[in-house]
Amino acid sequence: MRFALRRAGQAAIVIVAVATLAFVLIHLAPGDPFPTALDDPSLTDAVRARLRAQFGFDRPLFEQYLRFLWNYLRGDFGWSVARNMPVATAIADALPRTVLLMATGLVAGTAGGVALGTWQAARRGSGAERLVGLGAVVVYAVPEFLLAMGMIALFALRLRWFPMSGIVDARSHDALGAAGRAADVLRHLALPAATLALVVAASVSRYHRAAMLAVLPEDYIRTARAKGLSERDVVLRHALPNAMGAVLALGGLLIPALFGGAAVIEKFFDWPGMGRLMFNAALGRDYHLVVAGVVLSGALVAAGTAIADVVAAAFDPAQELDA
Amino acid sequence: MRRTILHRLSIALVFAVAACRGEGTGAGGTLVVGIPAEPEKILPPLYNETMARAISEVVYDKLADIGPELNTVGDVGYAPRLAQRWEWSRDSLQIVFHLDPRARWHDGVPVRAEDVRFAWQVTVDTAVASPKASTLGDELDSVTVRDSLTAVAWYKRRTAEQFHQVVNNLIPLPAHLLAQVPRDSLATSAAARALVGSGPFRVVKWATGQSVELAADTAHYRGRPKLDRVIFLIVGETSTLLAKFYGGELDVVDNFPAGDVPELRKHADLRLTTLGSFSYNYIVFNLFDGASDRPHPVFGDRGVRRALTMALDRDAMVRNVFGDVVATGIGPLTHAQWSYDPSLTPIPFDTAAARKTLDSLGWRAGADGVRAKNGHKLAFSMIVPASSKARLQLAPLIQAQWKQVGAQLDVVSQEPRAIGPLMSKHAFDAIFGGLTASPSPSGVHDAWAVAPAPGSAYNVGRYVNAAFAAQVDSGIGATTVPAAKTHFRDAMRLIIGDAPAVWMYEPPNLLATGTRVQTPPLRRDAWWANLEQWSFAPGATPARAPAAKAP
Repeated sequence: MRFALRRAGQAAIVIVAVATLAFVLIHLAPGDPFPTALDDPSLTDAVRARLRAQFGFDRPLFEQYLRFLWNYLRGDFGWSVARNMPVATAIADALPRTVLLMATGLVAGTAGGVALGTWQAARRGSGAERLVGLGAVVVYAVPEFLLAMGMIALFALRLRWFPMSGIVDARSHDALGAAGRAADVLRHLALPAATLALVVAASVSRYHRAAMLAVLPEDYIRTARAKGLSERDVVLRHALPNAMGAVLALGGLLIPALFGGAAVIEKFFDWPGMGRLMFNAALGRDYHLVVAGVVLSGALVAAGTAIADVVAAAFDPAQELDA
Repeated sequence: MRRTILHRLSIALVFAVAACRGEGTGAGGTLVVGIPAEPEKILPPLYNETMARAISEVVYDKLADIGPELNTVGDVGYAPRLAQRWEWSRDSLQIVFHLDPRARWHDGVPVRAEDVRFAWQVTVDTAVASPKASTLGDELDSVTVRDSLTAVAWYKRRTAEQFHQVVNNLIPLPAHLLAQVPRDSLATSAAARALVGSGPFRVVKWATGQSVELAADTAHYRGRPKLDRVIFLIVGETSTLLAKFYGGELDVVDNFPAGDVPELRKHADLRLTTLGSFSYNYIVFNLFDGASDRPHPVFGDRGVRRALTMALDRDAMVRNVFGDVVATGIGPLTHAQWSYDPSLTPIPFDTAAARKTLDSLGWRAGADGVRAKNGHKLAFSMIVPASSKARLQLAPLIQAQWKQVGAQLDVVSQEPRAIGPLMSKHAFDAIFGGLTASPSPSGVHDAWAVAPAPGSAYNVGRYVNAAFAAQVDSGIGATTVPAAKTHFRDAMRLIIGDAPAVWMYEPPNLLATGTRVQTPPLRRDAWWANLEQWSFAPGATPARAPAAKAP
């Protein structure tokens, strides 16, 4: 318990540090939300000055920082200039979509990776195992955008099984019933989630294979075999649960990693989630939205690593003593 | 269970019948337009981007709309919209607009003269920070209400384009809905997204990050639009946008990339329309040394600028990058504007003449092939926006051709947001910029004829020529098109000769549509201008629904 509380405290410090860094860096970057436009200078300097004043961007940086901290304490995350809506609304719109995508990709990818890693460990050294291992490395090595392009080319353009982008079919979605709408979202989810799941599965399978190979020579596994259990029971009932600690810890670390990885997937599949939101916010110097996104991402990283540490400690109390 | 299946089948049948009725007979149907980014603000006083303007102009009617000739002088060719008719005072300092009594806001409330006055008050209010404020404020003194259907615009001055400037920037707003909204928070208010207009289409859904959906105003005073719905679908990734278009998921792609025209031409069921280009991309030279008043060591000399212009085979470069759909730039006015004069000739491409000119100006080639004069090399940098694929493609070609005459170019790719501060501070040698104009040639005044205001992106190279400015002013003040054209032609001759920039190309305004989409003649500055007359061809195959084939 004390360990968990200590990790929560560390996580809070990390979040404040990340928020401060994000605030300073985005304000130091050249340009602002109302720049002198290169190709359309019709927005006059007076109008830009007025807009800057309206959002408080004309105030000294330290004053803006103090206001930012005060607003966050009050639960006010500011205004998204590019979206023309409260930051909280923009994130509330996008976050559930990213969570849906990430959760689907993470669960499917982890399940697939565990199954693959278990199978590989059970058949270590066989030709099929080597081939699957090579395939996992290839998938892991291929950049996500290439994987996304391949999925679109094959399943959306050639086979026409799934829509290539978006989250719903704008033409028909509103006319569908509740079940039809859910099915519509699921059809649109299929390709981006499958792409994410592939990436996760490739990574998890390698970790899990190694964990399984570490567990399989243990005495209790030998004992289980000596008791006459089938190899299937030995692997699934005795080795697998004991090898899962590494995967669970990895899962905690994958959450923030997916947050970043999903940005590429979201961009290619035009999935209107946090990744696309943040990418456009950074390009548009949408100060409040960028900082809120970074704080959220920082919170996920901190929470993810804290969960990973706590889970690892639960499986191996020696780690808690070391921490 | 059986009832459920029957129920679902009946729904499917209803949809199938509706689809056939909608897109197969030329009436109804849903048009899907692919757009690259979400519009920020659609409310008329606030928008500042092309797609926001497109949506705004089909949701909000103007008092009158420019005709197909795009004449901006006087009111010739203007079609009545909310104003059924208008009258000029004898001294041309008043225009009386008589509103169409049938016009209604989308909530059913009649459009009244008070809405015109309210729009004027909102647009020029500095608290609103409208991009239209300065133009409208320069023209109009006030707007008064004579009666519920008669609004009077009182002008500060007489100009040839006074009618154009007002009807283009003074777009009536629903006072009954917006009057209570504080002006300084209008842009951030809920009303700025819950749009109630007077145009042929009304906004029914604005799904953040996904789409803006419009539905036909079936009781519109100008008649019911032929289409039922128009969906502006946001597809941020260009490759996905094009794949969706080729796959039949989109009916229209605005600003179609010129580089993809050869691919589009392979599709018999797709059509490309070249509209007028009202923007030009150019290499602007900083005529001064940074922000100082000292002449720039290279570009301060008119002869050097002319020689560098001569050294570029712009026609070949533009063809190389864009194919046959793009026009080489002529000057700070485009071929599509009425002020264009075909007798204008650019500085010709002539490498030998460029070398000779540089020799005569004392720029001698060194051992490294780069010319120098008084210890200063003919070397400079050019900032190119990293977001412009075309400009990035052209930059190395320009670099190679300038190298041929002994000039060394350093290409610096910069993120667009980072270029603004450099422009404002004049901290650059040259920028491969672009400028969006309109059918009116009067924009050339701010862009080239006057010294830049602090922080302005106009005339960042600080070009000054009193004769040019005088011709531009005379062109703007002329009350007939022929007289104005003469002045603009003479102005163009002066600025082309001074070469404060190399006018590279006029970015094409390409509209790609499926052949199943039937359109009236498209207006060259705004394809959406008559969207209410668009329809689907009788018997046309409906646009393919995404994932039409089951796995």
